[in-house]
Amino acid sequence: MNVINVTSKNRQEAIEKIIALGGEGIVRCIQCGACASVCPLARTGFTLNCKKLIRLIQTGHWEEMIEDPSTWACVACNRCTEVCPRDVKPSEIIFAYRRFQAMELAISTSATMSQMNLYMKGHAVFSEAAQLRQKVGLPPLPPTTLSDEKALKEVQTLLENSPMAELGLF
Amino acid sequence: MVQVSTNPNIQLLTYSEVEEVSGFVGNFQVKVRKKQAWVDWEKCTGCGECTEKCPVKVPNEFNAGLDHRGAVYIQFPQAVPKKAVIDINNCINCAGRKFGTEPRISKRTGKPILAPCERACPAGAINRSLPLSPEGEVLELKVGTIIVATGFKVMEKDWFKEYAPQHPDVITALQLERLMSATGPTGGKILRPSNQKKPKVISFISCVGSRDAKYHTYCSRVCCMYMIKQARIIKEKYPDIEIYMHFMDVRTPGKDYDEYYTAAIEKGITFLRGKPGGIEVLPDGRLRVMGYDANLDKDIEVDADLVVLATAMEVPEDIKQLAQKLSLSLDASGFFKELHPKLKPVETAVEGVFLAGCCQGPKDIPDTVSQAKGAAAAAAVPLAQGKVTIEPTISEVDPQRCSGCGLCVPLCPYHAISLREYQGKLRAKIEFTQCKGCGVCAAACPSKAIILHGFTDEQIEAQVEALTSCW
Amino acid sequence: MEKIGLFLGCNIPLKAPDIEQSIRKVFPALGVEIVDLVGASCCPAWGTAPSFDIDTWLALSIRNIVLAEEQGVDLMTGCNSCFGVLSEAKHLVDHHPEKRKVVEQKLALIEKQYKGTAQVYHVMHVLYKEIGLDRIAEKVKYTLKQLRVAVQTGCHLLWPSEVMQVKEQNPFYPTMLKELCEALGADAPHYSKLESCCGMGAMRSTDQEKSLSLAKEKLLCMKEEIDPDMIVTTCSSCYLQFDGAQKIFRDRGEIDFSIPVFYYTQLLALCMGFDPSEVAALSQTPREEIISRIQSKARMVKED
Repeated sequence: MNVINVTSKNRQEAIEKIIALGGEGIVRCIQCGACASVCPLARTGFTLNCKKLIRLIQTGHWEEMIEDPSTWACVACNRCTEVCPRDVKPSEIIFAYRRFQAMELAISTSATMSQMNLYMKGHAVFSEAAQLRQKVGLPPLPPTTLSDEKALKEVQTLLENSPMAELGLF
Repeated sequence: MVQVSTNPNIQLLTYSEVEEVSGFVGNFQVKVRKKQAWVDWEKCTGCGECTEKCPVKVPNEFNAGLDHRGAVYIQFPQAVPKKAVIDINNCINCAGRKFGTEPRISKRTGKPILAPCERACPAGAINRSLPLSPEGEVLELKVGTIIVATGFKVMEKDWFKEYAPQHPDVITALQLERLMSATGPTGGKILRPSNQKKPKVISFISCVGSRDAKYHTYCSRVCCMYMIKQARIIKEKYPDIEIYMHFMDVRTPGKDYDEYYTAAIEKGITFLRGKPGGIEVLPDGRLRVMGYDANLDKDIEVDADLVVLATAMEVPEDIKQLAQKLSLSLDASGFFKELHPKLKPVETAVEGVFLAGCCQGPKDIPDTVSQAKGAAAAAAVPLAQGKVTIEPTISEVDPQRCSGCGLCVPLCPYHAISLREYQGKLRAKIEFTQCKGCGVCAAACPSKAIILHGFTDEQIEAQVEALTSCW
Repeated sequence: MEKIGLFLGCNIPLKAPDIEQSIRKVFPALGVEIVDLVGASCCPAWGTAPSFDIDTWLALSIRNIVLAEEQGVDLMTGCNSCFGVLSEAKHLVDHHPEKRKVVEQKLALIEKQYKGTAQVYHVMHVLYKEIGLDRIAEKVKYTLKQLRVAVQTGCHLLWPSEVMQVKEQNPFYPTMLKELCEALGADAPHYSKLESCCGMGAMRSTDQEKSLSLAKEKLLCMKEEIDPDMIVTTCSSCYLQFDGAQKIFRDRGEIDFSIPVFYYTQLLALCMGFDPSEVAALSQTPREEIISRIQSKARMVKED
């Protein structure tokens, strides 16, 4: 049957978890749809967008979408937050859900790569650039963690002392 | 209004403002400033000749800025009384005719050179030689009861940056109302302000500033119905105009209201559930409303020629000063606060002062009429009875103990306390008709000279004892 | 403002170092010294720490801001995404004492201290507010008169306006970049999708086709409505998207035009007479032709 028995869902638990992960505005959402009308995810037809995700969580659908990659496509443009009439900050709900997915390792391969790069190089987006840089008259390495071991160690220390360290991503 | 103006028992003071209110129920003294109209209203016949000669152009408030009026103007064709006023801040004093100066004499004709408005007036109601006072005139009225009915204003579109407020074809619903009015700037034709052409597609957006944490959290209550009304009138007059209405929810709680809404659907008006988040301005000047259809769960777009924003009802800024003058309090949304939301909806915390209409909260015409009649009846009761019943739990000063320090006077939220002479000394005196028994004065009095009847120290201690004793 | 700390991020130094070079050239020429934030890391990007743990995000971002504080300068990013991450982190920490406490504890692990004295700006803000249109216009050697640009400010410079130090009057109708382009002599007309998203960033790595559909919608809108000679952006992500996506569309035969893309300081550097082989040398959508048109005798308004 294509029916949801909503009484079987634990709505309170879902909302509390999202609040704990940084989405405290979820309780204020009245589903007006302003966020979705300007959301790049909605415009391009992802399964989830901010409004739909919020509704699913509000109705207790907390774990079903864990493998859905839509939230990871959010560009954090924050246009939803700017137009929201209820101060929900929809992008923060998307990120709160991402955090839930991330801590369960429900993330894409490209996202896994970024964490490794961040830890190993201090740069989430990394590619060998010495030639390009020299071509335009710059030193082969930028004055960032890439050329400063102590600085890289600092970044690594912060990452090692975070919940991310327990996920075995780096 | 015409009936009101001709009733011998009603004195109508327009173009006037309340300056000061003192006294109490049955004995209010109200100072009213009749603003200087600069036109002799005894003579003015409201013919409007002067308004046509004035060279000044000021945005016309009555038409919500859609056209212009002169510095001398009659507010609108049905104004009661229909009299001209000069907006002195915008008047340019043509021919050097500042009020209170003698005219120059024409060398050619030997006659005085008058300003166009003076020359135009067939009744001689404008005489700029008179040294009229910009202060106008202050009247002192003695009244028994007061009804506050100061109304509302609507928010301007400029607040809503996401809805292309810079574009002339984005208008407020009040502006549309003027466009639809036979006495409005287009004589009742629906024309786009940008090019004076008939729109093919009109989009309405509801809840603009209402139900919005950034502006007003309340529902303005009237927008859904007036938008449907506007849409239906337009559709009946111009069946070829396509109409789209973007709603957060359609709210039609009233007699025959929902039938009015469903009939609008039958007439081919499209309702879309979902608040638009933006408007794109297309190269040909049309407006692309970025919407969302909650029922389809899809983003939608409407390419409109005219976009109508149902902006929130709100109280004017200066309501705060009026509240101070009347010792009334305002609620969290800025409206006047009634004494009890269910049981005393027209009464206020000040005995003898009543509320009617949108100054108390957003409401439509039927509700306003009902409340106004209720307020009128409530205001008539003490006048007919000639006496009022007051609560027994009010404060009283023992003049023997009072030191006359005056600390209590400014603390009283109801202006009930004043210093009066008692046996040759100044002592606090509480006007018992104004006291509400809040107890602020009793708590603050350093001499313990004020007692709040029913809550004396002995009475409270006795209560505590009774409650804590074993039984 | 005599000097400012340049926060590089990842995309600019590693994927488009000619943008970095253009920033390093134009600011000193306009009287603002560039200070390197030695040892800076990734902001960290939205898809990393901010998607896992708020406190870790804040600690990494604040560490970067502290690098500016330590040198007594404000921080300037060239990348919109970095700007968004750092501004939001600073806003969160500055407005939530409990978050600040957590961040201070984390920074103590690496012997850093946050004072909150450095502001976060974007290249566009410094150019517009601190240097000003007049000073920019004075330095123009080659004018862009008769050239039309499509401006692309980029989302993270617009929203949420709450966290910005420098705000557009209307973030849905931004004008700063338009005015900056006009200061170079260019015509920068409005087009209907002015403030819409290019689709870069997380969307590009999650679903390339959907990401490209946004870029294409916007690109076609620019082409049809204003037919620009070039696209000018203040966002390195938008830059990479429009530059790279056009090549994909052309290779697939989906478009038959090519609009050169510049980061604003690249264009400014060209107008100021800097060497294109340093400031605008790397792109997938060809720029040589427009560059030679810009730096031509006919456009010269000032001798060296």
